[in-house]
Amino acid sequence: MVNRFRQSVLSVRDQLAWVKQFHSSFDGLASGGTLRCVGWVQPTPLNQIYRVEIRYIYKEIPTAKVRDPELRRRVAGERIPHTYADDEPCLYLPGKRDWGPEKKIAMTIIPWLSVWLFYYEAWLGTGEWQGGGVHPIRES
Amino acid sequence: MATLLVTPGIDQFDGLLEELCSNLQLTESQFKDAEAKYTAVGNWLGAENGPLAGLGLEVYPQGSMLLRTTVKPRSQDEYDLDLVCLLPSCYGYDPLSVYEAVAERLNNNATYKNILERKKRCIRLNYAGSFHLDVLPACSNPVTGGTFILVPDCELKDWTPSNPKGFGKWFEDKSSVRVHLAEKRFKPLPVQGPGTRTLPLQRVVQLIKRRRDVVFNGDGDAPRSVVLTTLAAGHYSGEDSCCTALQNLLDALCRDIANCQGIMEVRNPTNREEVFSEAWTWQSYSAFREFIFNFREEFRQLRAQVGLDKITKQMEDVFGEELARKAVLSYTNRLSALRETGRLGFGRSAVALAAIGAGVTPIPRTTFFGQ
Repeated sequence: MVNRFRQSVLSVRDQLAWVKQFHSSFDGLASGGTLRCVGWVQPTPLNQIYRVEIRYIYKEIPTAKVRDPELRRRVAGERIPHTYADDEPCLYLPGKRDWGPEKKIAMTIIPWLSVWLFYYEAWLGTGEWQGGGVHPIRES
Repeated sequence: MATLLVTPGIDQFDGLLEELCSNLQLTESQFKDAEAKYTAVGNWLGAENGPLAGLGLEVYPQGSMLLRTTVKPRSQDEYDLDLVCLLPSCYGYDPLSVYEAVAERLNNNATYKNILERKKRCIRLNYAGSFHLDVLPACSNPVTGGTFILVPDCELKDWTPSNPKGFGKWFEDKSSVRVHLAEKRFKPLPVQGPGTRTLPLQRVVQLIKRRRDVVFNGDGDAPRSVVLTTLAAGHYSGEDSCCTALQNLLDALCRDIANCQGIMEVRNPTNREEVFSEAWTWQSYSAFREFIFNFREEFRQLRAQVGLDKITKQMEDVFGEELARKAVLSYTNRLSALRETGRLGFGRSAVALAAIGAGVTPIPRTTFFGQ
């Protein structure tokens, strides 16, 4: 198969190998084109430590879930900023600018999740989201 | 763990407390404004064609402005700033006439006339929305010499001793930080907040004064600032972490209180004759003891919190809602500043965020998306 990208697309096994190399607290499984790994994230010593899970299907979009402790909200029923349904953090812009299958999850998704969690906790405390970002345009 | 949001080796909480204190402090522009105002007061009082000309008049700051331990008041917009108006050789005169001469001269100025208020020991100039300038007329103490002064007390109708410059020098000497050789290689991150960087002892004084303001909320039993400042400086032993210094101070004060039979005495370290705590009654001293015992516990609990949200909540309870919120937002901004300039990275342990350096991998830019 001819690789049409300048950088080659990484297999799920390669992705997992990079994750384990960069993040000693992470472990997971990569087989049949699917990656699932879990590990610990603590953005700074003032932050909580979180058990997180990354799922990725080859050439699709990686997703991040915070498993423990569960994400909370300031007021019941409100939406946590920059999340998809099911409280899944939206870590990057859809499209190729921020993430593509040639990039390492270890160097992008996982540290972005750490940054997101830092701003999430500050939001939970103060009510202000300071991490910037964009919101999708809603259809009227 | 490579987390460089504050200087390594220093308690992480210090970064937050630093932001909290810089929000309490006069900003650099407020400080300059106050300086310009008191210089103008000095120029008016000592003007060549005025009645106080030729007396070698000198105006200088004392108290929290001199020590850089100002604390934004909760119930009003104005900081209390104190100035000494020294007329060196007027000891032979009646203290009330010296007070009157200064008050009268200020009253003859169209600007000061409308903002002037006579107090027991000072003449207050009230710059609404900014600060009060409390002008204390004074003369040099001919007996003790040096920086010792005497201040007219309108109620006692007599001179009362003081030594603000000496106290400032003592405080400055006490403030010096013990530098450990091992820590010298670390360079602190630039402080984002307004004002110049303060020393740990200055922040300790600000924090204890702020907690006092929150607890006593204007109550007359509140311990005086000079008492708290003297106790804090007296117990300070050069800790480079304000957090550790405050916890050590509260521990030491609890021990002192427990060992003290009767009411504790706090004397002016530069003039042992002067008892700063002389106004303490059993009632106000008991309130002070309770304040210290509680603050020790509250501060310990604050340090034990994990999670910026829980820390914010606890800080709101201890130091006031708005101030705590501002401090957390400023602290968060430190990370944003690294991120915006492409200097944010992560370390190996639990994806700890850090400024780029040895053992820290840069984080590529991203834009958070979603609702």
